[in-house]
Amino acid sequence: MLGKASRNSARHPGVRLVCLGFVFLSIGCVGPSFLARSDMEKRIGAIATIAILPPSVDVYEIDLTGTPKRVDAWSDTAREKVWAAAATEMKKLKRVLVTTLSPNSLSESQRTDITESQLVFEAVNASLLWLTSSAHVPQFAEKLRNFDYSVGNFAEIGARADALLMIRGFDQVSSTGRKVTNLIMVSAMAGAAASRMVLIPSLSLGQSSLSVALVDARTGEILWYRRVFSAAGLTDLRDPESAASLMRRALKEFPISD
Amino acid sequence: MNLGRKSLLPVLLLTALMTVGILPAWGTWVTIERRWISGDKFEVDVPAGWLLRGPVEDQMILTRDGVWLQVVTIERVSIEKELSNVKKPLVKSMLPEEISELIAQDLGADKTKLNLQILERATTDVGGHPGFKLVYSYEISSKLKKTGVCYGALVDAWYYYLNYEGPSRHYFPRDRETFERLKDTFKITL
Repeated sequence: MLGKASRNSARHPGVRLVCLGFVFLSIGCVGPSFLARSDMEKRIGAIATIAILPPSVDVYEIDLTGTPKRVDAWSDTAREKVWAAAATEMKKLKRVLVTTLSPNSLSESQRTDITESQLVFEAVNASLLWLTSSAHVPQFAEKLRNFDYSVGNFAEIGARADALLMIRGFDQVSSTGRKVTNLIMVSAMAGAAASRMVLIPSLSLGQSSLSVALVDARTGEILWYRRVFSAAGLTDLRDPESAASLMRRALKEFPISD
Repeated sequence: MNLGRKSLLPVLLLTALMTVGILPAWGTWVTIERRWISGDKFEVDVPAGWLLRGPVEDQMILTRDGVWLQVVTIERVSIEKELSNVKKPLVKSMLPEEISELIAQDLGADKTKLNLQILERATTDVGGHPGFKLVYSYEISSKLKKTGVCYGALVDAWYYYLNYEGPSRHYFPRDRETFERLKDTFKITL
């Protein structure tokens, strides 16, 4: 975080160079808002039913040292909130019948089918983050234009709907100690930075993300994919309003509308 | 921390050039569709549409969709170097069966590979020399199941291997044939 600069510093060539550097870095980090197969438009016309799979959500607590630790209870809560948020948004669509696939309604082999597809979806997420983070590289841009990713055939649950909505969530929650320490650091340095340009160290308060994908229920091919982030501890997926807000962003530009 | 103008300018210029792709960053990924000849080491046909991580010296890494989904590693390693997990070296006089046994032990000693199972062992030609084939499966810490196949051969003072891994669901079986065709084009050059 840059501290407040003096009037003379603001006109200093060094300031302009720093700003230009951040512009270049920003250009390198911007990727497409969503990814889709080239034949998506043709295929979504045949979709009459969408089943929302139970989301996979991991919530970590970050302590003062920056070490993340997964918290099972928080992850379970966040999963329920994200799932409810997805159902609320998706059920607004009038053109398709949207259902949620409760694990209780599934057999052991069907639950295994879903779990394995979610694990592959995690790997797909990692690959897409890698490609989109360097979307300016021509070879990567070509990969994204010819989007062709899958979570594998659904042998067991493919008959339950024409398409499936898969959701992967990730959240980092700072411990109270970390938040308080960050506040003290920022407050202490802000005063010292008032008279000249300095970098103020601060602690990262964590990041939240949701990835959603519309998947062909027979083939497992991903028809449409979007990933959204929320930084600096602004989102808490355990909170229903917060989860709903991030889910609305994630489903923006969903290819099926009323 | 005050940022002096002189120290700032070269760093920002380098960052800008690397960001817009003018100056390739270390570990640049490129696509090529041709026979790759790595000097006096090995040659192989790179599949169309696959990404190759450069620069290639003794190790070549290829992927089609990202290394989390499929990755081919082709490498030449000195036999003086210990295997990284089992901490034992290969020996020049070893037969292919003995090499595959030690490689299987090395895979088993890799702490990132959980529940490792060897699914297939065989002796076979590798790059024009007597070698072995190992097929195996394992889980990573997230419980994702992965499958791998390794071909290897000892030639003079070098161990050459081609390794292909991917999630057992969809990706490994889908690209297996591509890898086997690549392996058939592999030639050790001396």
